[in-house]
Amino acid sequence: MTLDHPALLYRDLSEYRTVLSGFARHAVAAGDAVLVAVPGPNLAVLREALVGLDRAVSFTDMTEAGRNPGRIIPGVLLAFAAAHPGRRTSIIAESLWPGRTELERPACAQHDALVNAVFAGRDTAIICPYDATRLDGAAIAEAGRSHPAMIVDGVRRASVAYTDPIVTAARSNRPLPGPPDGAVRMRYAEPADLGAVRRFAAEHAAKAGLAETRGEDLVSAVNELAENTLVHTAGGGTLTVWADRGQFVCRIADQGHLADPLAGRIPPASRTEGGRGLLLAHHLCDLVRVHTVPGATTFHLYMDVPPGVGP
Amino acid sequence: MIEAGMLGRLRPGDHACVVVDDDGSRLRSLATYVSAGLRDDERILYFGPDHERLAADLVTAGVDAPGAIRRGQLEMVTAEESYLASGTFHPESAMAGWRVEAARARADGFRSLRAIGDMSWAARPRPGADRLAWYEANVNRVFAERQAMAICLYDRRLFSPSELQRMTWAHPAAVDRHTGADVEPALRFTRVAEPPGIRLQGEVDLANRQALRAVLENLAEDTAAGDRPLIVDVSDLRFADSAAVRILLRAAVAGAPRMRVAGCTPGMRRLLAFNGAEVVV
Repeated sequence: MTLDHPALLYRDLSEYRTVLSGFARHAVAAGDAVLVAVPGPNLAVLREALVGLDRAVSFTDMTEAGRNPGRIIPGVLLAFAAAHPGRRTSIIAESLWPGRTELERPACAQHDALVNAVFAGRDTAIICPYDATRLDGAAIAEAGRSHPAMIVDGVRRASVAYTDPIVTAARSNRPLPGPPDGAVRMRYAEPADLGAVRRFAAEHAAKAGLAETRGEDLVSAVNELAENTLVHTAGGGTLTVWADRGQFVCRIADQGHLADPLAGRIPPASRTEGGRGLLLAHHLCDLVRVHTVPGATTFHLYMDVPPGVGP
Repeated sequence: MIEAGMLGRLRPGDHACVVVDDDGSRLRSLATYVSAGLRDDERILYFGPDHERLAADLVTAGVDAPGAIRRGQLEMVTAEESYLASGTFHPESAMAGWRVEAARARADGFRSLRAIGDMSWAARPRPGADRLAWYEANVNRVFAERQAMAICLYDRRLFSPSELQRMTWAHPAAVDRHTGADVEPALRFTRVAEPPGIRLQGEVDLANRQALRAVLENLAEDTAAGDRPLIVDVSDLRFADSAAVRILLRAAVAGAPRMRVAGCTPGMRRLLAFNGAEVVV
């Protein structure tokens, strides 16, 4: 009953195909529930390699399911385990790919580290492929910190850089870039302000070119975090919004502190009414970044704006 | 003066928490609300203290209170001589009392009942006062019949911020000194006979979800539907936060297979799915 969480540093797609299809075939033979969650092009490679096993293996495009790295644990990994109660799960999870932005990479690192904390003591295997040819040294070093074992050139070794996952995740808890000139903001201090918070977010999201459904999702996420401010902190909060490089950004700043490093990663018991705000924000938004210290927490919610739309 | 603010635009079925800061804001709120009732030919029933002074103050605010009292359109009673007569606050009796008063208003030829409850008594120790928040949430089940409307006056000088919050959150709508003149009541309930159920209009969040909870948890008990399905019509619900969606979902699960939620927007469907609903409508 242990977690096996190695990183695979692959050189090319041939190695990718051989090692990972072997992992999946072995897991199917052992009776595991098997999930392949990797970016689209790689998904096609593994689908083809695993042809005939379609019924025993689930496939998910990680660029969608894991668009926001913060929802991979609840929305992909825990959801798959919950859908297969009583079975061992074996998962191929590629969360960091060469197209990930500088904003996304700390969220990927945090996610990968927290996998160790969330799945500690669970009977599951999660293998994380890293494109060793195209990713830079910093990304590979991060993989070493967040995976207890590394598979390089077909050889599996314990990772010497691996440390306490909570400590590793905390490395990504760093100050977020400030709002640019031209960002607009509003204060909120009581529940009666929530309607104005929602209208403010909706109006500016529409102006930035966000489609209506995505705007609704963002408004839900902003509302949940603003409610958290009002319920859990003193002094209200500030919502700041701006558009930047193809994204619309909502920044929520308050005087709270997210003391639990797993906040927003694990669905609470179904009977409870609250406790889902950050989880929902991760679910709905394309990226969520958080910086939290005692007395000050800042959330950035990012939504992709389709190219050619917006001001 | 009538048109200034939400208090001039409340309709039968509305139940608003009005937080006043001082005697001046109290009088302005009452003058707006009372004159709207005179305009709309409604019976105005004031439950509170200091009748003579209030009548005189309303006159200075331009409201012909004495004339309305003479016509029987405006009535004033104290809480102690009405719903607190036994010395104890009984929420169930108070809720039943609304139906009686609404029927009497119509029998007297008025279009509806428009009530004012001065809640200052609850700031002092009183048996049953601990059930006031329960009452404020559950009385929405009666107002949903849309035979009466009420505002509850809470004086900020008498209640602690946390007490005020608890009471405010039990109302579907709230008004205080920060409320903009163009703000509508956040949430409205309308009990519907055909098909049997309830219609929700507006927005639900932290500020009013206890009202939603009380109405939905008791929907089956409150609706004469026989064996027919109960419909919760959310097509005019512009926003529901995650916790409100869970209240909706829990009510639908508890009421299954009789209860159905109809008119979900795509956004609400996504929230329902996130909260574990497979298929709702």
